[in-house]
Amino acid sequence: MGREGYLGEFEQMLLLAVLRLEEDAYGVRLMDELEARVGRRVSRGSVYVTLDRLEEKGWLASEMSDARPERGGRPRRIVSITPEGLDALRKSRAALLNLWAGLEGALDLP
Amino acid sequence: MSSSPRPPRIGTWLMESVLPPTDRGAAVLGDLHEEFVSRASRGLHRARIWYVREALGVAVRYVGQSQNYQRGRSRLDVDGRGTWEGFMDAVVMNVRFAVRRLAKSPMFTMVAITSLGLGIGANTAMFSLVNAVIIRDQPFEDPAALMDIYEAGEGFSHGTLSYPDYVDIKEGSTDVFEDAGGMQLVLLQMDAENGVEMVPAEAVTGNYFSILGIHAALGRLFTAADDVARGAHPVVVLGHGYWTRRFGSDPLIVGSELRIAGRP
Repeated sequence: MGREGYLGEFEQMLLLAVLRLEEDAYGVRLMDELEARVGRRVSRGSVYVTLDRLEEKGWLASEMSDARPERGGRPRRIVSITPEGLDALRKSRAALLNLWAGLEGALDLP
Repeated sequence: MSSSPRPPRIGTWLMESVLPPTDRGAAVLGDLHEEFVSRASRGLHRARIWYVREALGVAVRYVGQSQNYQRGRSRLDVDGRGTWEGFMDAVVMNVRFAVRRLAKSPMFTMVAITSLGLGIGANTAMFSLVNAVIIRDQPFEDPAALMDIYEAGEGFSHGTLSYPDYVDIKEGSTDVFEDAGGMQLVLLQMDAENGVEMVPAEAVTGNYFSILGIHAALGRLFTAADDVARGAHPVVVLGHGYWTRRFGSDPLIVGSELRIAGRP
């Protein structure tokens, strides 16, 4: 399997944030969610570019909401995970858990 | 009633310049607008600064992405390698490394830069000469039909011809050449405001310009009717460079008198 089958760290973080936000997953909320859970502000440009890439790969889908006045008359891009995206998350999770397994002692973890 | 605060136009313009003109692009602008309005309620000035900074960050990222598109590559690989951004990162890293190494050896750097400068300068000068003489089309009507005629002898291959020889060639080669003209390089003493100015020129036969197929921008060129006795009919044609430099491109110079070696 090529590396295309696995998620990068930032891709994984973004997909997990999308999964958590469900119907409310769009740019502003995604950045807030990542900041709250990861503890650092991420680059806005990186978020949009990565969303585009994930959608190109078929791991995300997006639809536009109606234009909103509080957004200067512009729509929201609501993103959601596709079945292929969920599958990629499962594979990455399994690979990481396998790598972590048995290393708790080496990292002084309970 | 208060209207909604507006984000700085420069930020909006910057993003509109680089974002795709699609719903996706509009959604990015909408995200920034939404956050700007939220931040403006806590301080408009700081919100405006924040907006421009964010817009700049987004613009830089999208410029890199569009360069990537133009090269027909995927947007970004999983780890960022093999992409336009990855390539630029590598270039910047290498340039910084090279500058650090050069700064540690100033003498070597000076010698290297001087050598490169001299080499590039010499090559540029040589190319300019070759380009002007060989590569670039000459400003003549039919350059391929023009021939230079010299006199060859023992020890020299490009000797000049005498006027009688020129006349013989012109009259005796009508079955070979349509026409023959003559020219000689001369150095003229042009009277100038502050004394005398030495000007390189050509003394030519009356048919010289018609053979070359050159036309005058102003006034007239020489004709066969100008080929009269030596010194009896002194007329000159000014080159564009000399006309511009000496007379400031004055169109009224046509027909006026110039003094060469003290004579009109």
